Amino acid sequence: MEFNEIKLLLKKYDEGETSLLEEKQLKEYFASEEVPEEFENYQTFFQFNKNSKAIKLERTMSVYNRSGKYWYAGIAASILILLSVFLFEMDTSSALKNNNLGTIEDPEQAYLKTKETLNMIAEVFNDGRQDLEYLDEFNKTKDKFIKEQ
Amino acid sequence: MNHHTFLRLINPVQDKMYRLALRLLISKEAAEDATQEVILKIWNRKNKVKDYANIEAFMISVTKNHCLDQLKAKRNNNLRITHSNYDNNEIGVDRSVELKDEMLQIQRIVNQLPDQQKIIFQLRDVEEYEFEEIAEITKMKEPAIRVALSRARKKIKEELLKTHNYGI
Repeated sequence: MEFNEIKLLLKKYDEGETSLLEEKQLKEYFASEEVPEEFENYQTFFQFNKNSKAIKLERTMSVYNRSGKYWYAGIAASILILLSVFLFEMDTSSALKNNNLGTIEDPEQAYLKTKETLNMIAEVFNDGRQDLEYLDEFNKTKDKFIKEQ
Repeated sequence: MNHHTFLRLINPVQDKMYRLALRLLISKEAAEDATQEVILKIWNRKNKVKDYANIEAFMISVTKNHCLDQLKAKRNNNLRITHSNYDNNEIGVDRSVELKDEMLQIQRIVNQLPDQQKIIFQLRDVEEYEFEEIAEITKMKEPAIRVALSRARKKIKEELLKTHNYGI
């Protein structure tokens, strides 16, 4: 391309008036080695733009929220869970094998023991219920004001 | 749409998203994070994405907004974005030292442009988008884009001339 032609195009370029095609011509021209001294800055500039476009994303993108700060905490947690399950499993299975749980063989005795246990549970339930009795007071007061229909 | 299809769809755009994020956020790490966050954002809204005629412009636009939000948040916190990897891989390793210096100079000049000019410079001079596409991405009118672009180009030229003349 002619020197004057380039000069004209550069002027247009500076004003933001060039088309993509014209800009491509400029880029091609400045990609060649010999450029008049006057245009050296433009050459650097176009080289910079070219280099800028060559930058590539180096990290692999994913659609799972793994880029966040907590992904390694997730891995640590799963290792911990696996480990604890494993250890627990080992512990209980050996305990089950080794220890006599004290099973009652006699049916009569087993029946009495069960009854005793159930009674104890019922007692505990009743204890808890007694605490709720004062709630009736609310109803009494309420009934004074609101007549049942 | 499953995630494989989605990732294939965005694959040609993600480098452009990253480069825009890098232009605005400067730090490589921050730009990578931003790109990932934007991809996740769009993935979570993928059912709506089908409606967008030009998904590339949409993704670039979301990236732009995301980065500007990040910058705003940083500025509000009075934190400066770290310029630790100032001289990142914009320069090929095989370039001469002198050229590398010049590239760094331009990088520094571009970093000092206002955000809007950075965006338009990046979209036009680096990514080579048509003005129509830039208008869609930035929601700006074409004449305003040309003005901003012209300012950015002139500013870079001017500053480059200055550093050459003073030999800084």
